[in-house]
Amino acid sequence: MLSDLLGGFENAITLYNLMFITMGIVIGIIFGVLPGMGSITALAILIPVTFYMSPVAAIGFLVGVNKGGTSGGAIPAILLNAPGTPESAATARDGYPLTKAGKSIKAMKMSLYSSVFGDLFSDCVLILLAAPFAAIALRFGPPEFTSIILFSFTLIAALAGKSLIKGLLAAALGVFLSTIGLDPVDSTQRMTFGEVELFDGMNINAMAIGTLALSSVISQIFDLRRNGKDATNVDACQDTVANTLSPAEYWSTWKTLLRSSCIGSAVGMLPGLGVSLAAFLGYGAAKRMSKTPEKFGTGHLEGIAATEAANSAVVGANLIPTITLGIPGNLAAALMVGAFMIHGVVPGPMMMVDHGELVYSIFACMLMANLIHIIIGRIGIRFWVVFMNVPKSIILPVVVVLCIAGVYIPTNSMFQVGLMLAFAGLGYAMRKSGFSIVCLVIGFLLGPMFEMALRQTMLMYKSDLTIMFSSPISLAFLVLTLFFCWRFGPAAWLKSRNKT
Amino acid sequence: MRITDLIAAAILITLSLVCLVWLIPSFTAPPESALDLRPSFMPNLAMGSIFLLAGLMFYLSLKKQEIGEQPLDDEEFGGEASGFGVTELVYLATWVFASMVIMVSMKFFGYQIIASLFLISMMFYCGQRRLLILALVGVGMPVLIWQITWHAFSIQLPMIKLY
Repeated sequence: MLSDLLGGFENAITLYNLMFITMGIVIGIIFGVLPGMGSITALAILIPVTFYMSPVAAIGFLVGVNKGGTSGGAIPAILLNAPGTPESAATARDGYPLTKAGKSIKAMKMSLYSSVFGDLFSDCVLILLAAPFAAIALRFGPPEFTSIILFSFTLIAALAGKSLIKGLLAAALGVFLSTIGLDPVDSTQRMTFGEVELFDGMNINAMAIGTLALSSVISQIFDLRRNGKDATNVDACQDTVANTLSPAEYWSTWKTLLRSSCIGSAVGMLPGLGVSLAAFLGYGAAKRMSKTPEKFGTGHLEGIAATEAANSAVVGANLIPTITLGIPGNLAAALMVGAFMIHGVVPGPMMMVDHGELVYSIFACMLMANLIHIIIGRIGIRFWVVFMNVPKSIILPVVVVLCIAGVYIPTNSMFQVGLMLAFAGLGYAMRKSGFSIVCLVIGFLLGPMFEMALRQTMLMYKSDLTIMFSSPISLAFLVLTLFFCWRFGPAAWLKSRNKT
Repeated sequence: MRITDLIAAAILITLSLVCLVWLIPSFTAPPESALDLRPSFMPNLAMGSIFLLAGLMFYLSLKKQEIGEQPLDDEEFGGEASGFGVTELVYLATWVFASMVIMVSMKFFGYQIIASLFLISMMFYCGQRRLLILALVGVGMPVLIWQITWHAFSIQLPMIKLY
């Protein structure tokens, strides 16, 4: 493994790759800081741009965007008590009191260093576990994959939102949309209406940008129109002794950093558990284990360390199920699957075998991205604040025209632009009515995999589906699927009924 | 949210019935192998699931009146999932109309002109009233994007085509 990793470094350390990783981190932090944006919006808009890059540079760039976006969201949380991303909400609890005490720079330093620690830890977990997991996954056949994907649907639907039914409905709609195009086995047309642009299925970029980025932007535009509040004025340029973060102060939280990184990595490995959950679990665990829990929420550095290490530790670990099984753990991983596919790499158990060199180059890029992240983040600590002062009334419309260009660039097609605009409308309706967009996108991505696995099972075992129950792995996942359906469906409903 | 759920469930039931009865049978081919699944199997499975789940959602939403409304604390959207009322419907209709205008006009007038006009009107709609900013961002941004896509990716965004 070490020699593979060294080989990866050899491929990855080029000026070209380093430049794109740096650009990714800068753009990611800016998107994290900008009100209403975040790493998901940034990833969705920027994936089409990577079409013209080499695979290593492209994935390195996107990894940089994801890392930068996740940590950048903490800046408005600390300075304004307005988290740039949902996962930074817990950071605001201790960050904002520090700002009020004139120690915002210190809080931002703590947030940055903790974030990089969490990132580094989870990257190491990914590097250590990816190969053994992939080796196990290679033993899985179509029946096992069918059960695993079925289980993933249930897990994601159950955990992504409050309602299992709404989650499953969104996932089923995603699967249905993924079936439009040519049949994967017979190559006959399915619901294409003779439209050539639909033969390859619905474009993943149009779908992701429309539902994730554009729908969020139009929702904010209408909210802005209704509420009319669009002013932030922040000045974080104070530099006193109080804003110095000494190594002793930082390392005094090492237990919290390790614990939160472990929590974040564990959450990242399981499909459906979001980054926000990791942040709150990390914060909660730190508070419970602390000798001074009463200090939490009053501007305690440990609170920032716990949250930021946990939410950043999700970033690397969520690539474990993505790379080994082809099952994205969360939205960022789902978008990364799209990016891999654009570059001709199909995530799954064969990825380590067929593209081992690329995978280890990506790992090397991830490790280097941490180093670049700490340098860029530290240098720009005062500079990022400038972006927070840009009014939403300028940012949001600019993102709309960027989205249009973003979809047009790789496809050269106005049809795909129209598709994106339609998906944005669908995404807006889903947001307002509480249907999970995560489930829709993951259903769309896993739908073709599920269909292939099921059809291969049917062909291999002569339509005898009892193989699903005779294979122990498949049976175990089917039992887990039923358990989750019961736990988050009827059991949850009965519990809430008894409460009322 | 209960009314939203009821309407959403009703729409989904109708949509799934249309797909199951007309769309899927009319626009998919029969299977080529006796052992393989029909190409229509997966769309039917997805739509069948939607039909059943939407039916269940409709029933549970009706029952909600008896057991009391549960507050929605959605991790994914937070306060955004506020329900889909008349205001949201008007906003959605506005977006659909704007999208159609963009699609049709961009085919004839190209990206730069339409993106500029769209950007200026959107900024104005959002409450931006400073003329200098409207002009600078409205004209500068589409030109910048156009130049970047052309010089960096050799892609020409839609051009003016009046004939």
